[in-house]
Amino acid sequence: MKQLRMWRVYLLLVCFVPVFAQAEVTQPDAAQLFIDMSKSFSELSYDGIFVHSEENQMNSMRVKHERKEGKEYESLVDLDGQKIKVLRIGDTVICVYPNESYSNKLTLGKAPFDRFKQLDVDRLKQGYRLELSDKMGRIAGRDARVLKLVPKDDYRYGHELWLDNKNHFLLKHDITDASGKLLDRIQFTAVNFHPNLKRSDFIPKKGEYSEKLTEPMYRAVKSQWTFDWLPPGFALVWPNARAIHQGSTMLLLSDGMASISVFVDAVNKPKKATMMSMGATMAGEKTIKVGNQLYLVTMVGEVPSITIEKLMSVFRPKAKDKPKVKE
Amino acid sequence: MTTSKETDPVMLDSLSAMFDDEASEQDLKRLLEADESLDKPMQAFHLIQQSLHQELAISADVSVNLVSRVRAQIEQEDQQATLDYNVQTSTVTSIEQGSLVSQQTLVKGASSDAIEDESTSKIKSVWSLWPSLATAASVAVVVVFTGNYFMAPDNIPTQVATVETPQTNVTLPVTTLSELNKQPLDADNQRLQSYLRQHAEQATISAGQGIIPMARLVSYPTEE
Repeated sequence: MKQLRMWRVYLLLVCFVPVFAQAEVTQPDAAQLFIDMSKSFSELSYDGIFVHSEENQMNSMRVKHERKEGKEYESLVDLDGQKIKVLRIGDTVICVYPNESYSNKLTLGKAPFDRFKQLDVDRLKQGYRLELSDKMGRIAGRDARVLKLVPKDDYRYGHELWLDNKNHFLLKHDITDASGKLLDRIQFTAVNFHPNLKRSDFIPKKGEYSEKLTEPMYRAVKSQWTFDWLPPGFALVWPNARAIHQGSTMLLLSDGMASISVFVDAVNKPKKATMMSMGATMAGEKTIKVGNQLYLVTMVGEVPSITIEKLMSVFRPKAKDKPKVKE
Repeated sequence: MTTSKETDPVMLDSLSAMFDDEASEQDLKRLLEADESLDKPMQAFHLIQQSLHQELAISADVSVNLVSRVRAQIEQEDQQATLDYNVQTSTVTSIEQGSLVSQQTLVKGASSDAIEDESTSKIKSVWSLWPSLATAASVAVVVVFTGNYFMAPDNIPTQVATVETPQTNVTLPVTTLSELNKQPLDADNQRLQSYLRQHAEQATISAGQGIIPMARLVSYPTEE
């Protein structure tokens, strides 16, 4: 009888231990992790300090986030240069630039924190291969795993996302070029997921910024411009253009990770084509002529220069009133 | 050129070495002299490919021998290099922009290798042929591997959507944005700084990282 029991135990071990072992090594879905990461920014409460570095610059910043009564409260404060403070309450963003004579109050077109419900992973996959790395690490005292977004072409950078093992919060974000060179890094040094935040943490204090608060009124207008080509996965974020000031319009492109802003200004004289960079941010300018009117096209985005350059070469007025473009 | 060498094992060794990127100068000389003798091994290879993959049209013309093709390619490349040089030089000088002067210098430097006097071209002929022979070899190797890929029973050729991408000939030199702070701040710079901010402010919508990408605002030039 004793021998029979021993056999039973042996059989149990043989049959179930591999099952448990397998359950332990089952990898979560990389796409689902990306969605979880995005949701964690809007659903978790946190108070953390992170370092942002690019090229030879480094800044530490403090970010606080809280969801109260269905509304999002978020603040971002520059701890080193005291240059900016960004506050977000619901769908309103206030950017305070202490070195200057104004602050910005922006009302975004839609609630920014609901955007992840429509996160289009299929579109993201057109431009990137989502890979869950075996690499594990410890960031800001928390265990983290690495999710890689490997670009499928030369039109975007690679991203390495270090996610908290427990809540999938993004603890570290590296942006690298095709050669693997690090262009931009955001890394938390400390983060508290049980902060005791109050509303007063998210209200701009008197004296912190200029009394003059400008509120740019972005107006949706029918876009007169189009692209003959877009890198795979890139699409317009807004269905229309935004009129920003004095006849200038803005379009926004995104592939789900990187974004490119396109500004069009009517100008009187041509400007030399230029390309400028800072870390992962690239800015290109080019003058084009439509009929007798000159336009300065400015594109800014966290993409390689080749992407900006090619997009500038295929940016055209829409076919309906498409005069010949001279460059 | 004689056909008596077509079964010469030394010749086949040289051919093999060329395909392996290991051909010596002697191998190259031997292959250059062989000419038509290489046709049969190449034709045999072609026949094997066709019989295995009747659905694939291999357009390589094996009636023209390998060495002749390589020679023709070298002549074509030399002509193209000369043409490119002339076109690029005229384009660059007509634009007369400081940023492109360095490119003109580079183009001149690159094409000076292509435009050389007769005496040096003879000396260099064997060595200048090497990259082209290597190219021919690598093309052949690609065909072999492609063939193997399609031979695998569970690999079904599928229709692949092609995306047309525009080509830009001249790449703009990239300068650093921090230079803006060192330059006189004219209206253009102020406009660009304003656009950098607006990009950071608006682009957070699509980044999926909450407010954190706005940290880049700090690094942008801000002097006004």
